[in-house]
Amino acid sequence: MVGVATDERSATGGRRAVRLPSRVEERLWWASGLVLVVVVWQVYAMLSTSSLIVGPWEVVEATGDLIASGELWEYAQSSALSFAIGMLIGSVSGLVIGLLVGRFRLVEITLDPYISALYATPLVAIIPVLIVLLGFGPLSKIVIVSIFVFFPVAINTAAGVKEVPRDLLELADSFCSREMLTWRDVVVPSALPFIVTGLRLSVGRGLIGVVVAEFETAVTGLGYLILSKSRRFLMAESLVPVVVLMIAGFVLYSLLKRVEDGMLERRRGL
Amino acid sequence: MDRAEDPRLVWGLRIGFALVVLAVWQVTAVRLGENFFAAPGAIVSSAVALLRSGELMHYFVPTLEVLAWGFLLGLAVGIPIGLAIGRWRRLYWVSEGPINLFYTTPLAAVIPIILVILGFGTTTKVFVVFAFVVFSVLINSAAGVRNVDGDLLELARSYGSSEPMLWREILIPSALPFVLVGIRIGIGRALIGAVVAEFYAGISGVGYLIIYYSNRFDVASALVPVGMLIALGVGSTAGLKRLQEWLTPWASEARV
Repeated sequence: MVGVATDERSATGGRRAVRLPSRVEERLWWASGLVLVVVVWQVYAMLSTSSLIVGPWEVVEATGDLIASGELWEYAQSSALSFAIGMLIGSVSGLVIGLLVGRFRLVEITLDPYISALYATPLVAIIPVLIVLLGFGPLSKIVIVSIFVFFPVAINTAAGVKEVPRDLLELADSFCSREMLTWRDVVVPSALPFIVTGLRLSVGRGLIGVVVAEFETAVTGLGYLILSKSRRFLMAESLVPVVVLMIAGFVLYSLLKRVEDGMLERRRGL
Repeated sequence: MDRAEDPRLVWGLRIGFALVVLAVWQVTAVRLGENFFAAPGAIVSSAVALLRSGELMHYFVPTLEVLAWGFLLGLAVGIPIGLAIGRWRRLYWVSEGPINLFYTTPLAAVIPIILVILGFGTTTKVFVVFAFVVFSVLINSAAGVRNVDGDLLELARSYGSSEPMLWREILIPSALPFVLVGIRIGIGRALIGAVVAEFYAGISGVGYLIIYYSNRFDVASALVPVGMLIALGVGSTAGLKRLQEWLTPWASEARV
């Protein structure tokens, strides 16, 4: 709302004279955007006659209930565990393959078409099949998440390794640096921002993997919570896990973005 | 990149790798009991059977329709809004938070809820595809406009260029490569949305086919539509890359 005031002021003449510093103005607009979403949603829910449309306030109340009953915590824990293990396995294997693809031309020739092809495919399609093969336990969730995470990490790592400045590699070579030392001191550090980009892009994919796997297995996890509540038309309660996932995705994404920006900044400073 | 490799070596390695994978797969599958862990041979014969009976096409056509509608809607909404957001600073500031929030949300999580509200029909599927597409298109279109060289704009304006002229001569051409990248990412996401929506909404489409055969433990038949989706994903991405090279040959392929 403050934003509107600024706007009026600038429209009524004092264009340059009275103005908030642009950084502050940006923050205010940014915050009012988020507030606007909540307000529009609440108003729409209040105007809507359908009992299936619930507003943010009902979701907040439902969150309280689900926390009090311990349900939310129990299901979130199970999702988070599968997500974390899958993330770890997927990003470590993506890292290893990505480094090999980026560094060795023959590996790149062999694997690159397959990796890009699978990256372009809707991997969610194999989830039901994997569950048939691996069962309804946490194992299939972990495998699904790691497959989802693997591709962005591998592709970005490979791209990062290929971007390592030639001069640096040649310098290391001419100082008779051993392969391992070159990796430690040159290749990995300069590929690092790319690797973080890969991780950032894989967060969202990993979350999709967990949730869809939980829709399919329908035993536990936030995905199951969404499914079971929505099937009983408890719309507010089914939105609670969605909000949790939203926040988790947003926080992880922004965190990694910040790490990435910091790295790039430092590089530019050098 | 800079060295030209012997094409015999390149294709030898690639095909050799594929053959090794298929051989290992076939042997493991036969060892572990073939009806459960489908071997490549079994998948091929299932594919032939599904094609002969016309089942595959029967389920594939509705998926394509859903994809086309959702995708076109996503472009029709995402591109103009994205361009506008990129052009006007305040619009960008207001929308940045909500857009990032929605973009990072695992949209798949909302599908059961959309299903309850919109019903088990085509509307739900089209809407899901639309929602998956619109944000990547929007974000990239906005980034394209924001990336325009500021000096160029100032120059144009100081020569008295009007807003429509600015769009035609500078903004649209410089944003185009970004928009195309957004469209390419959008296609990939559209496929994901269509499949997940079909897992749950109604009894049509390849997503349903996958579920149907998985629930019957017929892994070989379930993998046939998966293969088809892989082909569709690879084909559409490659096609768009071509389109990109043709429409915007000046843009380098090094982003997003």
